[in-house]
Amino acid sequence: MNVAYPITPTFAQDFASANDSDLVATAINGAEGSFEELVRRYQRPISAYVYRMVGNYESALDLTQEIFIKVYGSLRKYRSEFKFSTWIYKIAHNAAVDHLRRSSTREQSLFNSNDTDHFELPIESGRLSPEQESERKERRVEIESVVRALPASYRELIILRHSQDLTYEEIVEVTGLPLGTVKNRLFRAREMMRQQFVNRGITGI
Amino acid sequence: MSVETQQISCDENLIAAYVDGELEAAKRLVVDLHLSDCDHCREELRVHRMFVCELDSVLAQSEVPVPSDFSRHVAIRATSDLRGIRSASENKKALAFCILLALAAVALLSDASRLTAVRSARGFIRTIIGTVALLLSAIYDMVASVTVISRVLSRKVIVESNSLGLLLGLFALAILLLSRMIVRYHRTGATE
Repeated sequence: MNVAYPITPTFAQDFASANDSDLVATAINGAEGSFEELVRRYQRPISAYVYRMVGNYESALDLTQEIFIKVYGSLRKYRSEFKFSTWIYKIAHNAAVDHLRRSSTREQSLFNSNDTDHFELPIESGRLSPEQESERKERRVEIESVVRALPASYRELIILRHSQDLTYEEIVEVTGLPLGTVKNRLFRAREMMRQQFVNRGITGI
Repeated sequence: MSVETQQISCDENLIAAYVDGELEAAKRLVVDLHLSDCDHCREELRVHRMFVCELDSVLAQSEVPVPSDFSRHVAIRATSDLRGIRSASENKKALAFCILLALAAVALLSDASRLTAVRSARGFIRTIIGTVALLLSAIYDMVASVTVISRVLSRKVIVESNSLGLLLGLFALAILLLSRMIVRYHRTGATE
């Protein structure tokens, strides 16, 4: 049952400090700005997840937009006893899987080994020397490339775990896979990646 | 069963879960115990931990640049979407309203079309009546003209020429033609 939240200017100014469940409740009651604040909070992690899943920047932005529209349309189905982040990732997972299914042929070509059409993800470097910066960038490019080469079902688990920092239980909730499968696939995905590094002659990873 | 008495064999999945911090406290103690005795698993743990740290540091910090007005744009699109946030009762009301609007539109359209149809039919009937009247008038004028012409001709030929023989001849021809017409009429009736 949804709690009737007052829609006052004071409350509207407090969007940034409100928790996700409160924002959902006020968005349902029609408070302007609540949903925008939710989008602002999740646009970066969702777009990064979607980009790594579909491999194309423009498609990723379009799909991210679609995901948020679906989220808005389903706000009444959200139950506050669950984490909003897990719920939104579940919607994003379903949308990404549908997208890959629709464009399965294109997806194959996007993730082949000689793919040069991908977008290079920027990274916050902090204070590093030029040499360290260069070495880090090179390593990042290698890791991103190996992640892209993974089969979609393995790639997704690596992204959810290492990029989005989800726990095993949350990954189970998002993907609908049994816990044992999640553990096994994560381990196998890491093994595949390590093998790829060995094949490419990269050491120290 | 105490932790000390539990024995596990080398299990790489367990090592991965151990590194990810996903083991329960009791299971973690069992793995700790196994690690103290197994060089292979210790090495596996070291390599796996290093690899996971590397993945975390690279993948967690990468971001996809999002346009500055993305959240506003998405929020406007979502809230203006008709399929957006609506309760079942709101949906039913909206549906009933749409049906009413559709019925009103159909009624107005049919009324408008009825007026147009009546107007067209009136125009069509007027045209037909006009054409028939013109045709009848033309036939009447034609018959009248033929009557006048035949009267003038007969006066000239019969009366003004004072020829009794010609008059009798024409009368006999008329009788003959009339009798032949009567005979043909009866023959046609017999053969049917």
